[in-house]
Amino acid sequence: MPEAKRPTVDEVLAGALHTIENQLLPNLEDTWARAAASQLMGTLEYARGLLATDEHVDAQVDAVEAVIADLLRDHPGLEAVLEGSGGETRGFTVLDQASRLLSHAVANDSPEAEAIRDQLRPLIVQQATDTLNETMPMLMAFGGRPRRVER
Amino acid sequence: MLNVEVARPQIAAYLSAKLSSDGGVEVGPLERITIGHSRGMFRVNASYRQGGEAVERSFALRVEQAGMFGTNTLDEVRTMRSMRAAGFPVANIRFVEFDPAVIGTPFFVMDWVEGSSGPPNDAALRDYVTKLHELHQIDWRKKEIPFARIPSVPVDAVHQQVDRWMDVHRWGRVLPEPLLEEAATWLKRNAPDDLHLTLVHGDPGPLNFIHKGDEVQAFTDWEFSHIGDPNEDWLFLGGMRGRGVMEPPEWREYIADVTGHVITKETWAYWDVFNQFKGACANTSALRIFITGANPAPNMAAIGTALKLSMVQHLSTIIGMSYAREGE
Repeated sequence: MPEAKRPTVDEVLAGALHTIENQLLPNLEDTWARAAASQLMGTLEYARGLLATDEHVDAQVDAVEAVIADLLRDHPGLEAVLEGSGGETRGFTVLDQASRLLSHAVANDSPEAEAIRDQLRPLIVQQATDTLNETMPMLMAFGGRPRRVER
Repeated sequence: MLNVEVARPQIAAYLSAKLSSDGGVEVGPLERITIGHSRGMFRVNASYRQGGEAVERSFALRVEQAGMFGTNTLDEVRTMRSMRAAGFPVANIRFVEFDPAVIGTPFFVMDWVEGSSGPPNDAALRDYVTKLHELHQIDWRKKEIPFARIPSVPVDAVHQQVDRWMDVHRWGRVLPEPLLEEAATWLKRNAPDDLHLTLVHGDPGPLNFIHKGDEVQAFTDWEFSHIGDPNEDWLFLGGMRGRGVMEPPEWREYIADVTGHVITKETWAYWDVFNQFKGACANTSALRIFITGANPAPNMAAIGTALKLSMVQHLSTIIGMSYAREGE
């Protein structure tokens, strides 16, 4: 096996986690410092997770944009709901439109509101759940109990 | 973020200027108090001589953290002083400082209140719930409580608070959060009919009061207080902050038993969504504070992402269930 030229980012993060858990935490007595060290481990685990997966914000935005396009095609009246929406980025604009549509559906009982609840809402909920799962290492470490480091 | 070792001489100099001492005030190492994330909280142990006598005194130092939760020192101090003047158990505030030249951020100094903010015994918990109920019974119109916004009618209070928290969320967010925008509309459309206008603490529950023996010594963390419906407090206690003590259905019974205040399941569900919304919006501020480097500590990253999203998931589930019921 060829010798690695230099440590990878993941190896550095794993080493940092291991060091915090085995060398720093056992010697920390202050409660706040121990909680911060544990939370830092959660943040590093989250970072390792990010490295291991493809960044998919663009894919999420694409999916929302496609559903909104379908809704507008089937219910042209919804164009009025989106009037004035926008943002500095495509992602901001699309999620602003999704926000307006979900809010519109709260206040309406029409077939178009039902379509928003049936088609757009489940996608938004699923994406929020996915993001929650990605950030879960930080939540697990939030209370101050470090988990074993997986190498 | 306050660096305790750097701030220690500044705090000593500050107290030397504020306290009448014979030759200045010495301050021991600042002790971080391990509760809460909205403010940096420290115990300050000061020693000095006054009229030839040695004095040892502790203070609590409460430090702003770059706009965390969208709250500020001025509002909190004004509320605390008003509540103390109204005879409610609140720590005495000695000094308030807004000049960033002192330690870089606004702060205030309170007299140290002896006791614990940890798990209370049964009697202290009952005393806390009784006192929270008493807070809701205060005739706030006769007290000079300087809230920035006073609702005209009960439903106005709901709208004010929803807008308040949405503003905090929008300040902190990177991208729009459709489920929170939906929740804001849902909360306004579905506000209960039997609303009341009372003082609301806004953040009640374990860790946010100090007790000693069987009695509450002080209510703390007043930065969310406002005029609104008391069920906001009861659900914050029973649905969120108090879950380590007992589960929500038990809290509902306990509150009724101790105070006589009965909360229907429908009202409970509404204020549960409200508080999850409030928590999620408030927590978004931590995201901005983290990514701008104002406070790059890992708890800010967790609060601004995972903790916020867990609340979004909770409230969106309840709202989804309400849609399902309407569709039946």
